[in-house]
Amino acid sequence: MLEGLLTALAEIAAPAPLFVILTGTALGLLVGALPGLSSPMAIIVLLPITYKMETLAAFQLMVGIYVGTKLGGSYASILLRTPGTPAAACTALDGFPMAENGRPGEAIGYSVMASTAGGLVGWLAAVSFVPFIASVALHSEPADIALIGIAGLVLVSAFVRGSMVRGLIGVLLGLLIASVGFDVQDGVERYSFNNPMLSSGISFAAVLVGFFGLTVVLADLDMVGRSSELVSTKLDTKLPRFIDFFKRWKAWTIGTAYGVVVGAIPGVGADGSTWLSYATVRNQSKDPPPEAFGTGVPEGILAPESSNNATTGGTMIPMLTLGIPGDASTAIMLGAMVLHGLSPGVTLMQDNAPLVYGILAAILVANILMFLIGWSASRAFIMVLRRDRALLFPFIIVFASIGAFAADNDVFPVYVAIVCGVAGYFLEKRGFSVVTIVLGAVLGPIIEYNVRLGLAYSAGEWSVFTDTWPRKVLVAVIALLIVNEVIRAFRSRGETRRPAAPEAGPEAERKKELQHTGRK
Amino acid sequence: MRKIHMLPAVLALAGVMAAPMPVVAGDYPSDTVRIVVPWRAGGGTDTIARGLAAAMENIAGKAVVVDNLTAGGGNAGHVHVKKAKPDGLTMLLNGSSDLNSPIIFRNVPYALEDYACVGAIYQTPTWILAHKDQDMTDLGQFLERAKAEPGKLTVGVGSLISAHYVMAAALLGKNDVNARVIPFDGGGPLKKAILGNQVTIGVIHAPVLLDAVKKGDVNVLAAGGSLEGINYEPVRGTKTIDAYNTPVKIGVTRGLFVPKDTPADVIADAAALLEKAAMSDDFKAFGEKFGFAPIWWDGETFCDFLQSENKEYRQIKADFID
Repeated sequence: MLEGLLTALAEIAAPAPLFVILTGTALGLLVGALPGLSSPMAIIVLLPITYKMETLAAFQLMVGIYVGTKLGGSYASILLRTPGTPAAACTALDGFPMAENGRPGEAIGYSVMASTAGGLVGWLAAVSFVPFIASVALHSEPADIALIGIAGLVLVSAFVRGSMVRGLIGVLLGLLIASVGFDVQDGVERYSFNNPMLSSGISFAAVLVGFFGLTVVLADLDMVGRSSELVSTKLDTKLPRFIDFFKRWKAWTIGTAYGVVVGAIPGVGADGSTWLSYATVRNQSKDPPPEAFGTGVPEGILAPESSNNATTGGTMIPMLTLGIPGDASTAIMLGAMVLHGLSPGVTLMQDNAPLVYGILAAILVANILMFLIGWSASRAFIMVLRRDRALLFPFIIVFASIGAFAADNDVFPVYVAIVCGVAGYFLEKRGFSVVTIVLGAVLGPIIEYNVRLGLAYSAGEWSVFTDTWPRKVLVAVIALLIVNEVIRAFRSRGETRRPAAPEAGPEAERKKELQHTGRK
Repeated sequence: MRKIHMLPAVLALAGVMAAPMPVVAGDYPSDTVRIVVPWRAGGGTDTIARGLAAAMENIAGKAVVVDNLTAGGGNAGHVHVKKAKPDGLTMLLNGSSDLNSPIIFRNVPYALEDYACVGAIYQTPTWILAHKDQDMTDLGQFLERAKAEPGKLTVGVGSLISAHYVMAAALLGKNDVNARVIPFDGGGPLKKAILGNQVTIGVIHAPVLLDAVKKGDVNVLAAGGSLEGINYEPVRGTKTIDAYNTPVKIGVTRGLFVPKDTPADVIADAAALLEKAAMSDDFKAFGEKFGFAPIWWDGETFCDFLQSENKEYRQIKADFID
């Protein structure tokens, strides 16, 4: 295990891979810094380029983008109060006030330090757990995979913007998209309407391009011609002194821990972990007192920023060992694996160990490069915030269309992408999250296939889903999650009737608003 | 004077212009050749196509490109070649059973009659594998166990639309045993199930899992055709399913197709190039790496084979599947 990782690290320390990762990380910082553009979209746009690359290089590029956007997102949160990415929305709570108080460089410095620390610890978690879980997962059976997938879907719908009903509707829409086409087990064609292009299902790449590429552009059209006013133009990163950073260890260790754990839970990702860690750090804090949060305390930056970078390591665990995505970006990476002729899943580690270690090594390198760029060159990335990003839209549309076309070498997926893009735009306007749809479309087939395979193995006995201890635990977790959500739904309905609900108030409003602006 | 000098010049010019004329027919290919593969890059057929394209390029001196037109479960690639200009520059590379199975089991927008055969270059039989913990070394043991425990044993197949499924159905039907056939989502997941000992036996294209066979983790119980051509001596003598009441040949013969209206002389030119490429040292070296030696069948033999395979599969479908 250690040998595989060391080999991968030795191979990565060459000009070509380092250049690829550096490009990816820089691009990620740039894309992350621009509100509205985030890592799933950047990876989607680059998909057609990665088709022609070596498999490992393609994933090194994607990993670079993935890691870079997590820090880049905080730039906009701090300087504009408009989150650059959904995962950075929480950072605006304390980052923006700190910048307003004339300390923007310091705010970015805390963000760079926390992101790096979170990223490195997340990486450590990934390299410690991936080989172990991969070896356990090799003995997994379809019933296990099905239950993990179901638990992931329930979590996805529970975490998205607080409304489980909307989350569930999104997930179900995704399941519906995924059910189109030839059914592997019975040989029945579903919802294909005798159209030969639909008979084998809707291209996953086209769905992604539509929801993450075109929807984003449509949603941002109202920003055309507008450039943003930065809170300050004194932008040199001021890294905190080590003592200032380490004496606030509680904030970033809690953030990191949440990031790793939430990242590793299939489907949830960084958007959820930042708010969780922020709330925990604030509630446990004595100095500064909880009331001080929101006025620009360093802890309010350290917690979410360490958390969102820590998820990059966490999400690798289910992605590389089970073939189940931890968030939207890893869902796309899994799709890219299929396009590169790999079969993600429990055998990935066995069949392609060099690739798995190569990806893990790339995460480490990307985090180090991210630190170096953030430390020395943040200024360049912040300057783009003042430009009109509408210039990018035509390129995004062109590259996204090429991505949809190239997945199948056909025009049909481009039409699918356009339909998904327009539908996604209206759904986002109505408060649904396209992430839930995409994850439904990714996890749906995995769940269906494994549920039915599990039943085929057991000759139709449903007890196969509870006949081992791990499965009993998973079923209990799923049941608890659903019951918990149902109870919460009933309670909050009761609360909305009362005017002074404890959950409401200015801060909850602010959170809602930030989450909304960051989503696009 | 001038006129006298002009005449040889004119003649020479005419000669230059005329010279290539008779060669045109033999000048195939006149442009880049596109080999359309209706399956994803990285799969078995695609790997063979790329090996073949490299060999063809060396001989023809023109570019030979592989295009994976996979949309609609391969429909796009099949339809593209069906409608292509019949100039021999756009060809379909597909396996016999991979072409026949969708035609027989699904509603697809193409038929055998839409294509003319150029020739076949590669033949691999299907084989039946079992994990070593199943303690079986030949198919007879499986059939006996299946008789003793009806409905208990499982047979994994890569897809419902495949030679594997036809083979499983024929084998169980002809021997009148009851085991559960479990369709997987392709060869990859089936490989995992065989390696994880989750199915009693698995039906899959040879030489898939040859490494596990060499290591002794997986046993070869029988094959859908002769394994003589495989580059691993110990399994060459594996019994075919003929020995188990199932006198059919099941496997995949990969070859090239052109649109049905392609002129006979163009097909002949393409076939000549293909035969040279298939028998070249380049392609033989590729075959050595892939697991089987290349073959050469002319278009007529290949087309006759496709027709008889189609009839055989339809019979099995009528007898044991419908």
